[in-house]
Amino acid sequence: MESNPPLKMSIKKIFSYLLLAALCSSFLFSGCSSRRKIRTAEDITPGNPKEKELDWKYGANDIRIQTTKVTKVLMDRWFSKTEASPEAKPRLIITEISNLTDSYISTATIRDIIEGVAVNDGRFRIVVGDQMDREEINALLEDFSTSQRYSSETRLESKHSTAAQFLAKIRLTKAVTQQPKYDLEDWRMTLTLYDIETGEVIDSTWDVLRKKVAFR
Amino acid sequence: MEKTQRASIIKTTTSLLSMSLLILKGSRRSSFSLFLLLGSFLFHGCSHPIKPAQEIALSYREGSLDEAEGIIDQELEKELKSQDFKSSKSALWLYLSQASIKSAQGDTRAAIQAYETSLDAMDYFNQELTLEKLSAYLTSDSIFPFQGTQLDQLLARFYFSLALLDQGDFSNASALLKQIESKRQDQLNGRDVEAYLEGTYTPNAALASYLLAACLEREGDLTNAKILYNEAQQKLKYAFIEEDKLTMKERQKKKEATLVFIAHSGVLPEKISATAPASVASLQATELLLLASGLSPDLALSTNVGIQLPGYATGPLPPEMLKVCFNNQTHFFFEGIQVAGEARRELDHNTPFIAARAFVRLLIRRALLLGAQKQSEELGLAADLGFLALNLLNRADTRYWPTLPYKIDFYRIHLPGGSYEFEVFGSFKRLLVPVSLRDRELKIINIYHPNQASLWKATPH
Repeated sequence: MESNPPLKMSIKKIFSYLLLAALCSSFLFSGCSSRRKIRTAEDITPGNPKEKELDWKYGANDIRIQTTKVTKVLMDRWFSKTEASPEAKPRLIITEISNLTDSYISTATIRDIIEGVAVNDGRFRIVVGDQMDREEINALLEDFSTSQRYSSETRLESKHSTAAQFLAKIRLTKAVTQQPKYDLEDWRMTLTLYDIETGEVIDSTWDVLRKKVAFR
Repeated sequence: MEKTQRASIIKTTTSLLSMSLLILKGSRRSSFSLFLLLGSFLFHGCSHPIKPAQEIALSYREGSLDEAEGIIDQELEKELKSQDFKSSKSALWLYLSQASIKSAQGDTRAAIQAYETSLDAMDYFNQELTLEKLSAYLTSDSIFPFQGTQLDQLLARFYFSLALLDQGDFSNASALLKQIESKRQDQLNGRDVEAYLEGTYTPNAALASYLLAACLEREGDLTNAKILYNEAQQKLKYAFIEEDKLTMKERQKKKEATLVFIAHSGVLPEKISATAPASVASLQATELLLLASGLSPDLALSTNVGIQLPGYATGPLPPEMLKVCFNNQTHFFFEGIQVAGEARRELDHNTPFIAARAFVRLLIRRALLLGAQKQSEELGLAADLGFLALNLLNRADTRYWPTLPYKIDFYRIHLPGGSYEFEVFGSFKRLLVPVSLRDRELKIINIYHPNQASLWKATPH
């Protein structure tokens, strides 16, 4: 019994010092800027390289991954089916970038990225508009064929080459599978090519990017 | 040197000093260190960006958008110092205010950028840190960065979608409206953890549902549009919404366009900090109990101040309901979102949590004071005076989005494509609004009416 009181006293002192230290340190850190984590997501798409540090929102990186894949598939198919000459680069006229998800995705970002992808690929050309109606498309095509601006010595005469032109639509959709600690988000980008005269679907492909997004 | 920086340095220095002295033994040093520690409380949370918010709200109320913009830019410059929003606890309400001023000026592009940053900031700051929560119990609620209330989050998305609709970006506007709908669904299904923890306040998102229904109808998705019209009708209870739902196919055949006027009337009342009278009485009773039971050697002055709670000022008067005249027929606008009412309702819902934190804060200080009183009478008195000053300086967190309107009303009409002229008017001002509609178009026209003498249409640049 005699030996207990000193032990109790020192425990009490230690406890009170620790409590005061906790109080002081909370003051110390409360003035500092917030140390919040930037939310990230993991790319768990089968076949994609393991990426653990994607932005949790659908952004430029994801758009780049998907547009590269879909344009590659379409162009591989086009050139293998038609055996067209590589000089006759097809022209894709993007008339609509349709975001059917519940997240804001800058169409300007999609536009910039797809232009970059076209340049890197080198097998097709791209003209990006948005929500063009028939009149606007007609005016644009009229311009291409008759305007002085597009008539140059480096341009191939139409009778010497055949280069296809397509109207194209990019559509983005999203499906979410809710789990206890995270959501599985499937982002689907579909690129569809339409015949410029009849409006019939010529070809279409899609890519699904699966992301594992943890809750905060 | 900034006031906040100076306060932080003093606080940090005194905390460090008191910690190091506490490690050393000796009752005198302990008393002194305790005094220093208590003194460090004094400098905490002194600076509140209250005054700029008041100035911004006043400028907006007077219709001086450039002046409001100038104040916001100045404050952003001070807060951010060329860094991004993560470095500031007040950046969010400044960005939201900037976005709504830009929308009112018709600078849609800048408004979209500001709203985008605001949503990123909302998401970032909604991550709560344990240390911050602990600090809030010790100091004040202002320790948290401004996160935006649930109503702010709804309205940020709503206004963002309006800006996108101004630009003709229907798919992204629909995406933002879908976010609001999705959040509402999550709250209803108990999936929204925040809503679950904080109770079940759900902002009235009926106008957003109505707009989303109109967007989906325009896209040809009539099934989902019908569901959302139902949703809007349940909350708003206007006969024309039921009519819209039933006549969708007919309008599609006739290729009728839909024109929606959205009126942003008045300004949200100022958020203020006030003493809860009941808290003064109960704290005084607590003091008497402590004295009577012998737990406290003396009554404390510092607890007599009560606790501070946030509230919305009672003035100014609600703005009038605007009218629209077309084809010699006059119609009133319909109530969409009663922003002030919703804000009050949300604050009432959150007040018990705020009051609990404030009470715990006061109790902790009272416990420390008790410790000081037991050390010596002089130390007790010094601590009591220190805590009195601190409690008097402590204010509730009154940060808010000052450029929100008092209410958002709307008026819709279906017309075939063509050119029309409308007149929107209140008691003192009239505004002629020429409109040109294409077949099947969905056109939104934003009308700003912050006071009776100001009425303008935001024309996108």
